[in-house]
Amino acid sequence: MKVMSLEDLQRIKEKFSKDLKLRKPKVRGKIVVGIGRHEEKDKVERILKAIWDELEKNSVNDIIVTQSSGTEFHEAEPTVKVQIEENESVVYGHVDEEQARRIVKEHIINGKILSDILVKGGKA
Amino acid sequence: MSVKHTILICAGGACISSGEESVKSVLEEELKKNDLEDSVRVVQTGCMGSCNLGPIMIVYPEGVFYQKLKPQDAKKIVEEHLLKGKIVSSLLHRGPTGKVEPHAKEELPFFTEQVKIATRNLGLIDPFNINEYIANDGYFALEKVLKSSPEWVIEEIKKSGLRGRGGAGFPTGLKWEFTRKAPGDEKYVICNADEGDPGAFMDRSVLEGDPHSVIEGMEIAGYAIGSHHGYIYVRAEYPLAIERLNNAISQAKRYGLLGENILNTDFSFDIELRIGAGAFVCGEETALIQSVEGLRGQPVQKPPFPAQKGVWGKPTVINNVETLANIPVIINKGAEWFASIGTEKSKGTKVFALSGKINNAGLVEVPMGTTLRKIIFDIGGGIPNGKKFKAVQTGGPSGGCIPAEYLDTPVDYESLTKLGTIMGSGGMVVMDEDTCMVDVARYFLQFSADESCGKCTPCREGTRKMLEILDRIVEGKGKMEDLDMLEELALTIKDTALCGLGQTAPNPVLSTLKYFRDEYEAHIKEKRCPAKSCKALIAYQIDPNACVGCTACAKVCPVGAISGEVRKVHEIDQEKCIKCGSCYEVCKFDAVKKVDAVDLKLNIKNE
Repeated sequence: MKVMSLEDLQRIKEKFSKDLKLRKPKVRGKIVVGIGRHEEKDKVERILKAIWDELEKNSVNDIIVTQSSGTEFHEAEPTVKVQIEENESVVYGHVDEEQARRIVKEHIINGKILSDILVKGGKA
Repeated sequence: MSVKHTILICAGGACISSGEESVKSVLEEELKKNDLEDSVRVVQTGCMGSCNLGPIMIVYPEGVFYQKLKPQDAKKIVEEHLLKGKIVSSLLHRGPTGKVEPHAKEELPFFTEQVKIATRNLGLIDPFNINEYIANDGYFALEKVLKSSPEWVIEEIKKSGLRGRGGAGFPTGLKWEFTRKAPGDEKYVICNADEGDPGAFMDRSVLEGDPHSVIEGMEIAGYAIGSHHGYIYVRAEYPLAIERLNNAISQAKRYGLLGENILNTDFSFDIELRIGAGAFVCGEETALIQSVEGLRGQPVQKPPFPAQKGVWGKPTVINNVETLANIPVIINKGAEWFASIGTEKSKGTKVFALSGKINNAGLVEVPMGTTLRKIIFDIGGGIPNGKKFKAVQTGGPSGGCIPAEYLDTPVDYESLTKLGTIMGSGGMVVMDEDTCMVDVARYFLQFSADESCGKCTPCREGTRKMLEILDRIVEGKGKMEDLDMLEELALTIKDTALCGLGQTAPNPVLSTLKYFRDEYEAHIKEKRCPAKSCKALIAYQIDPNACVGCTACAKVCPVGAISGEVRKVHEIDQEKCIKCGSCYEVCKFDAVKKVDAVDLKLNIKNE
């Protein structure tokens, strides 16, 4: 089979990109724990652990949890950014383990934005 | 029956070495046994990057990242995950602290902090399947280019700011322009895949994981400069890369995407592999040309540059693997997009091979200008066993080391040059506090001296002389004048050697002299190796207060130098000891100590 034109390429792409799409996890949203200072790695790990724990307790398995060094809100670190589907992302500041659990329970599960620790986004 | 699960298995070089094939065969067996062959699709991909976690398997749609797999683990994954829908948590990655337990690849900082352009398809597509390459926009750039003028292509690459990823950082678009403008109707494109730095495996990973991107990049270069022939110069030490390249070339030919009348146009381009014997100097472009022609791989004087007179005396473009892998993406997404990534003078991303004393050894791609700290600590996960970071060597034997105080340096061509090292092709060897910097310099210089082709005197004799001096210093026989001599030799070789190999060979010595001169002086003046690594300058001693008399050290000593009864303090006979370090490794009570040999001798004298 010879590929003769752009149309031929597009036909192949269409047929096989379905396979590639299956190689991304199916997720509803993303939680990003952000911290810029290295000496506080332990803190990040405790927050991550709390989030994972809370997600598991509530059998939520369509949320990706990541960490990021350096956010735009240095003074509010540790921060937690929540991005659900195509909605505007929401950033919470000065998050500890307790707040992290609240974020999962309220925001992720009930879709309620926590206005008291909000740094960016969301109509508080 | 529709596909319910897709399983990606990393078939990069490192994962294959750690047993990927047997994991895969157990997986396939189990799938068959459980009648899951139709509903589960298994794909072998190129290097996923996290080489020290191999063998790796990712199970979709959940995206669960399983690591360090043994063949029997595949059975567990089939039974628990595929059949019962339960994640096998014992096979997840735990991070250096063992505390964190992410499920998906997208959750590991190692992956989330990267920006993948040259390695976009690694760990995603099957390198044996051209359809999957096309599915991820492969060969669309070639199609676009063939509808445009060669001048437009060159302009686009110039605008993108792409610079050669092989080490020197020459602007790629300019190189193409020179070659296009050079008189002559026969021109050549060469892909330099002669990667030879210790600790570097970027190019190998790209060739193994995404051979079509290199082929497409070469075709675009060929069209731009007006060439119909390409060579890929790859070393025989990379058999897997050769196999996958050969397969990709024949697939592309079958599809009419390589060979005569590509994509039904007038443009024809053919690619031939040239297998090198693995001499480091053949990565130098003029030596490479000699070797492609079947001659002995020795550099020749420049000018004329290959753009004027290259292989078979014809104008030739030589681009590195990673440079070429960037080309299709630049054409597809546009020069502006590419130029928006990176720093003012270094655009785009760079692939690094992290190795040495680092938690996440492997392949990473980050935007130019990313700090060393981010690469080594956030992505690389820092130094194992709680040791302190001491330095990182960039550019392999042609580069230099960078000490801790410069960790916040943004990595681009200019800043690294300013620190006395080079970007090089992307090797990054991380060293911890137990590394002796004099010995590191000696190691890299030894490499360059061994690989010197012998054509010019400064490199052939000069590196030997420098090595002799370094050998003396690590044996505790150095003199302070040696340091001046080292520097003088180094600067002379830099100025007078014929090719890049010789000109850069002194860099490891110069940079360690600059940043770690105190270590050289300690070796010479005090006969001490501050890192306690140079064999001639250390001794092993048993701390009588810590030794419980477990006899483990005596059992492991290959020369019977350790004596002592059970439950009584043991002792090392310094005369017999060959300093192999076995007792040090085996002692569970921290009773075997490394000490400076000079102190021991003093103590003996005083007694």
